[in-house]
Amino acid sequence: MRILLIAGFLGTGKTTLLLHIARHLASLSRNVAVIENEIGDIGIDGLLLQKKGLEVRELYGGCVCCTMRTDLRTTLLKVKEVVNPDYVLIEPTGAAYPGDVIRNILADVPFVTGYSVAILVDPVRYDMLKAMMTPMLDAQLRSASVVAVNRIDEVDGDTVERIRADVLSRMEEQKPVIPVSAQEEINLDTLIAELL
Amino acid sequence: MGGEIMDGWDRVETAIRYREKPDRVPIVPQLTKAASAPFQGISQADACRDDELILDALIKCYDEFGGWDALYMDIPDSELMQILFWQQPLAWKVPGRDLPDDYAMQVLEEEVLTIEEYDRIAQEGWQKFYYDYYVFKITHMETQEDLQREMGRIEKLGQKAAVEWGKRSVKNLCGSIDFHPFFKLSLMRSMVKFTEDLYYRGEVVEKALKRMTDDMIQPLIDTCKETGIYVAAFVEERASAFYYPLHVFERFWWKYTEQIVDALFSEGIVLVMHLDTDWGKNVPYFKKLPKGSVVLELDSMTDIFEAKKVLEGHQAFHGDVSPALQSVGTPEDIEEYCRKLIDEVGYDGGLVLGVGCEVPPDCTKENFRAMIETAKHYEFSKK
Repeated sequence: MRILLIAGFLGTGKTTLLLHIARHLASLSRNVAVIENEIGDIGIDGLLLQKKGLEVRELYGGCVCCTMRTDLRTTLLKVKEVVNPDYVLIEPTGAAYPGDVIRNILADVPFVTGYSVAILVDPVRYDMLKAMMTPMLDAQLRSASVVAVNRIDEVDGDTVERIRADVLSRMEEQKPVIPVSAQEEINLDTLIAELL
Repeated sequence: MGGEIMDGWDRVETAIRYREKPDRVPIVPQLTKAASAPFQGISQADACRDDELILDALIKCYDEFGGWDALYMDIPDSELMQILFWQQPLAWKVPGRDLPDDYAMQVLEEEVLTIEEYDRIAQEGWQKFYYDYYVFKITHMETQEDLQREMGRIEKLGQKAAVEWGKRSVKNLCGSIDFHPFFKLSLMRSMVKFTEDLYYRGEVVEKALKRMTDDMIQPLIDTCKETGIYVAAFVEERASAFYYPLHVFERFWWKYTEQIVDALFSEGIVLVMHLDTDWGKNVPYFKKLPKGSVVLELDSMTDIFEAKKVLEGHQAFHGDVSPALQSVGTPEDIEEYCRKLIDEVGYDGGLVLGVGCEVPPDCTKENFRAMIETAKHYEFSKK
């Protein structure tokens, strides 16, 4: 059971990307489960996904310290038992460090065969988030297997390149930084190839 | 109990005011509806539907585990109690109503406060804004009559609770609870929108923060005086260096906190700060506050042992047995960690033992008991 963590600040397009990846995997006849844990409204229609053969679980929202770790463990154990998926796509709360989420999963769930972390960066709000939520942004980048600069259809090419360069400069260990648009399905095949 | 020479409240006050080392570490477990319900075989849905059931559960838990030195929750922390009495300004998804019966309550964070309403808070005042207008945006209540009826119901439950806790000679840790203005606004706007506000319209936010701070202080003091418990609390889960750089912390949180602490401590009131996430980089600031004026209630994400090195002899701590350990650990794990806390954080008296944040819904009874018993017996067993 492989974990794909799709992380980033609220509103960066994680859900849209997650759905695309889930559909792609399903088209390859992979068994997929989706776990949602965003503090706001998740925007995923669980019933719709279940009709498409995807198992969806929603975690308790809110308290990063108290319940997230054991909720995730319990949910993954249940998913393994009921669905036995090849892949579990997780959209964690934007309030947690993705590295902590992965660390807890690896410590608590014995049958995980591997993981990848996609960090979504929003070029529209990047400068603001970099100035105001520096610790969280840097924590996200530290945990990335691949970084997706999403929503490139909403900004010009120079902005995308500037942000891409800035992200690379902030990463201690260089990882792929790929400009994408989950909404317009630009460059998603490249991103998915890196992630899988 | 063998070795004890103080009563529970004396023990707590001695520890939090940093007077001297009490006879043993005080134990105040953060037991709320979430864990007391399953401890007594009650579903989360039933716990949310019936406050009397949960009051009964809290009392039964206290009796079953042999009691502790002060209460964290004397009445159930229902959705409406938190909104009306703690001024936690957001709606919840509730099991049995919005969620499956076995889920815990979930926060429903949405952009409820509009940008224009910052000025309204600054002009009208926080209390009027909240009780005349805002509570109706986040609850099913529609009129002031609805509001008064719900507050009356909860106050009546509080009177019943007071009788039961009085029989057991145990008090609440805090006479009054509120949420830090920064955290309130973050919840009301939603986290990322609030962050945008801090960046793009910081002065507008500051006007609201100033008014909210000014308006929260006197009610905290008055309620502490009414209850006779000169300990207040506020909750803050987002202002730390876990999320924001220190310049944001200093501008939008620290100076308001200093104002609150100074006002309360001048009245003899200690402030318990419920601080979730990692406050490691922020800890040195608390040394600037008067000795024994605050208690840092940590949730296990801050390194409490490092924090102790910084604040030794100056400010006390409450916590911080990890909720995850309480759920998946063994009683031996709990005992070992509690001993380490008592030895390395409580050796000079500046510790009230408890969990990080709150006892989780899947905490085992054995683990909860291990924490209580270690607090009561470990230090005497060393003598």
